[in-house]
Amino acid sequence: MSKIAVIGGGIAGCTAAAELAAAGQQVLLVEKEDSLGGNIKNYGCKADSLCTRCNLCLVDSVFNQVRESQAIDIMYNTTVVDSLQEQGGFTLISSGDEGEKEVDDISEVVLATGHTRWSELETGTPEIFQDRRIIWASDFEDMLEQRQDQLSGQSLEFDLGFAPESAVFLQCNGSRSLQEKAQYCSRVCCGYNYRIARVLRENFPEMELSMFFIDMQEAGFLVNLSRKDLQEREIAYYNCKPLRLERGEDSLTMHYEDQKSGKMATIETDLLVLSEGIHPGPEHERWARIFNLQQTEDGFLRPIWSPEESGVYLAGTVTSPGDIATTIAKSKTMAYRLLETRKNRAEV
Amino acid sequence: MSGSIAHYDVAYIGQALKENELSQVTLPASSLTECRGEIGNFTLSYQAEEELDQIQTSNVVINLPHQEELPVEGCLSLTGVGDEFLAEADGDKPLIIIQDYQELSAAALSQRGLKLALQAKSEDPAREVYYFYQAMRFMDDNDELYEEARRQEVIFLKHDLGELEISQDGEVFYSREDIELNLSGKLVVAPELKPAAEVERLARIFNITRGPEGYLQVDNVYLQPTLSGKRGLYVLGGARGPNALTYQQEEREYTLQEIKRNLIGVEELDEEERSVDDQKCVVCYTCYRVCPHGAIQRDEELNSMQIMPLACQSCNLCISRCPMGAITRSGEIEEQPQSDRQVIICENSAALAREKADSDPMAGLEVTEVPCVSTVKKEHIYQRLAGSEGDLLILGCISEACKHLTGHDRCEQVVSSAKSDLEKLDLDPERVNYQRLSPRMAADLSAYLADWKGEVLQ
Repeated sequence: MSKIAVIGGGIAGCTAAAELAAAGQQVLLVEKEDSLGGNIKNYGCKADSLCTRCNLCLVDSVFNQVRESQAIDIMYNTTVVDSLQEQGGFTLISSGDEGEKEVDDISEVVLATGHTRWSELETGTPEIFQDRRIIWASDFEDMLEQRQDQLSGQSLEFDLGFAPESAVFLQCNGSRSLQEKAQYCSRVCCGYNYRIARVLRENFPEMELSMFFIDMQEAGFLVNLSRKDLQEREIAYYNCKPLRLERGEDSLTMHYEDQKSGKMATIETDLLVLSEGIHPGPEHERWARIFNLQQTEDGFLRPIWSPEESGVYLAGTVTSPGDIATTIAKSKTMAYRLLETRKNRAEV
Repeated sequence: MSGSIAHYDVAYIGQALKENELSQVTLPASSLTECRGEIGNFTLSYQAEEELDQIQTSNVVINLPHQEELPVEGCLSLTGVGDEFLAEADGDKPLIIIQDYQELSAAALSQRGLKLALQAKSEDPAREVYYFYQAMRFMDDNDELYEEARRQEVIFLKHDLGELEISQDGEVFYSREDIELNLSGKLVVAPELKPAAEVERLARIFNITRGPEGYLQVDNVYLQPTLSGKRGLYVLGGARGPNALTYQQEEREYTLQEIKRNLIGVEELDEEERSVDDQKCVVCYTCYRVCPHGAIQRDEELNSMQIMPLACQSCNLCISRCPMGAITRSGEIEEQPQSDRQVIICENSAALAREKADSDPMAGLEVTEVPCVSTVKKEHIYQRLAGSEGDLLILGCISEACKHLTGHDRCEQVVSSAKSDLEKLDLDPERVNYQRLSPRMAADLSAYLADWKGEVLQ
């Protein structure tokens, strides 16, 4: 029986694989790393006293479903390097532990290789990578995950080497900027850093917290981020992007324009948390070439022909930035479209 | 008989979605009077002209507009202005668009505002267009619209960075350090969005739970944001939630896809069978009220409640709540563990947290895994306490992780009621404990169990 190849074992790929397998299809899941999970793998639960509905705890069930399914074969440490499309199917050339291999009898391809995090691009100012007082939101996630999803009020000294008394969150870092090669809004970072700020507020009530926004976005399906909400949690709000960062011995100084008074002002902080924009995945050019896709101006993938015609289905953040719930929903849509096409074809 | 009733793939309550492969029917929310049946075979009764009529449908979509409240009396609403609006009189006066007045507006309203501003500029590039906002919110191509509007010289002003006042006759005053504006022109304001008008009545008809703000979507425990607690019933727009509009295109698409998926065939969620003994059932509707998934209805012929097998999501809550003990399930085993440390855990939270922990925190304990802790009856608690000298711990879910919406609360009620019974009988109520966990709280689980073991051993 021919198989459906799902490329990418993150939440988008696993959702699609699980849906397809549940509908009785045989699935081949290709994952470049040695375990499932993709970007989500290193995220941590961001509940304070209440759940902040990042949906993270609910994704484990999807990964378990994939691991346990008899209908899903998983190839770990493997990438797809080429694809030959013949009548009614694909032959994929995979590269993995056993070298290059031909995988034939593939009926459709679901492409779900996700995105690149801004921190992984390793561009921007070099001090970011030298100063331990400047961290990425993803560093914070790793920290939460390593502490088994909670800080328990214990000092950050353990993770950072120092205990900050204040923290500044910088939004739109890696998005909405020509220099950063991302003019679009990544849409997820506001909700993401806001949740981290809440975790800090819950664990360290004395800490001074501030956030710089250009435009505050909605924080996902069920959380409504608002200025009132920030006020209640005593998180200071700056409606601009800071212009200059000065690294002093004792603290970091952010220079910004106070637009209300039209004057320059400064704020000092012990810790700077950078948001992470969602950037196109590193393999997008290859996918565009071998699967006959287009790249948008921003570098994300866009189909030329509908998936029903081409047999290539795009799932998750390969097409545009999105949060966990959106990614799952979009991925399910693709899986259902694929199943429907199969059903229609079988009827013909 | 049902043979004469028309059957559709999908029934829309409110507005239909554009789709031409599915057979569909549209009913106004106000006409609907009753819903019976389950996914694949709902029967909807509605008021048609003078008499009641019925249709059958495999799926139901509630798609109603949000109710809107204008933050400024007497002005035009951003959602209410059509294409003809710009061509009307006063075309030479400035166009003033205001969003985020009081509350921040949803991204869909930003999109409307930007489109309106661009349209005004394309019809008359000389017209002044002012756009007051706090945060430009993005969806679809809002980024590009925003850039384009800036290029077209729409004047954007953040009103949280200054003072914005709107007088009763629609004049707008704005002052900031370096700007002083006194504007009169066409004023269009973004409304605040509220749940659709009929949602409360619809929640009763479909027997589903409403969320804190009154929307029909409670919490996204299904990883499917438009699926209600009842299988085959979908909620969109003003029925779904405050920011449903941001994702409306995606939400419509995957709702339709899921409906098509349902039409291929729907299976029961587990292999066990639950049945109501019609001789014992006194039709008290307790099960109907407690079922989080709207899976129970009255069987009119037998005059007994009945569980609909496809709608049932196997939490067993009805079984534990039935005052007559009339509901049973196949495969029910009444085991009598004798360990002095017993734990009952929910398979959706504590069981997952246990797998995640480094070493099994429940080693040496008598563990029973249940689909939902609401399954635990008071009798179970007494049996277990009577069968040994030891303690009983029940681990349920935090509310957001509860797959059965109210299961965790129901269990807490049972435990506290059992505790007060024990107290009345002069027995130690501390022998039974209840704790809530999320599936990721492995560390909490280990810590809590360590504490509890310590106490028990003392």
